[in-house]
Amino acid sequence: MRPFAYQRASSAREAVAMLAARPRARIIAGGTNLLDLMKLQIETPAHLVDVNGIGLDTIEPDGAGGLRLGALVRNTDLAAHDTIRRQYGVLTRALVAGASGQLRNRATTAGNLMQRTRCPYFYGSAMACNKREPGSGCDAREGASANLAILGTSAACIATHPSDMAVAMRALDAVVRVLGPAGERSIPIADFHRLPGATPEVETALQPGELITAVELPAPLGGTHVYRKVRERASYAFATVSVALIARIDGDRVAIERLAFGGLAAKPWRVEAAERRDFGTPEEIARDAATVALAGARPTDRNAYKIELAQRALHAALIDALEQNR
Amino acid sequence: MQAAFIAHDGYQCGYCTPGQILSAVATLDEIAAGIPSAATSRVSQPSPASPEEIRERMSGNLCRCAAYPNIIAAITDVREGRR
Repeated sequence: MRPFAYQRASSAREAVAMLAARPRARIIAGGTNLLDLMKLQIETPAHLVDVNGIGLDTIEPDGAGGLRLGALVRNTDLAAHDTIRRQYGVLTRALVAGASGQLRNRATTAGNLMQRTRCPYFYGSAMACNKREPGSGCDAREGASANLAILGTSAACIATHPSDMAVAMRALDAVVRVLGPAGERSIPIADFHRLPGATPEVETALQPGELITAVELPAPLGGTHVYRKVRERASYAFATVSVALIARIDGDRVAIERLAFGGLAAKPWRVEAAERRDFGTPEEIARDAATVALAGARPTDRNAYKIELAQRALHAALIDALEQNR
Repeated sequence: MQAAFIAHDGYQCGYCTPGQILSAVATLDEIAAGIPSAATSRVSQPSPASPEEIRERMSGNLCRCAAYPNIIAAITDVREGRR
């Protein structure tokens, strides 16, 4: 690890001022991703601003029927919050599908959004990666791409975003609140994570010097909430495919209210075109929605399996929704 | 919990054991506190201390000697008040 300076901020404004004063500063909260990246010298900040003491660690009603989740709320506390469990079940389910209990106890709401890809080529310094070293190329495309993206990829990058939480937040139309030198602004989660294009090193809409202060959830949607995650082992692994689903149920028939996939792209992959369709059997609805969702898929020869797996995971999620109502 | 690990032979080489015991105590505390996990079928309700819940909540601790069945037995003993 390289030497770095370290400062504790006592408020969001002070943290933003500290960021502004140091060009190569990074925010540290739970540290569950950044410390690993620093040990591997993939991230080499000259300065760390610790925001664990700035507050912003509560979940409050937003006055409009929704909730304001403080940036420093830990993943475990968010998942266990009574209103989240009852009214935003897809979010609780997504959170507990991620990482391990120890990591969720440290990881924060904002940090989860800011975590970086787990593409093995991003972590291997002997291999070309445009995200780690812009312009160096991408060894993943011709390499071990089995768990990499099939949607929204570019010639420069086929990495996925690893978060489960963000997939549920995308289905819920969350809004990210940020504070910067110019004041506060809102970023819809749809616009927060970026597709790689020619600049895969630019991963979010957050500008230099900006700090996430909260994530806002709109008023609850009702419906049946499911998060179905497929991975290479039963627990403590990143998704190959995941499904965040809010469904409507009519007897043995089901309709999609909200749908987003994880594990397929550099951002949570929402499929608005498959939402609010007619009721049908899980098989019919999964087939139709997957056809719409995956029409633009451009897999490598090693991850084409994800096309069928996504449809099957959605089918299973729709059956889960029916089972929850039995 | 330490006594239960000894009684059930919940380790072989012992390298992972301190972490396993800490997580085992935390697992039972978190179930008692009503914190949900990926093994919880209805997240709006408290979860039982089932073997599935214990396995899921202990998944962050790897044991390369694979003492897992004995670790589950030790935790179950403590949960059921036998130790």
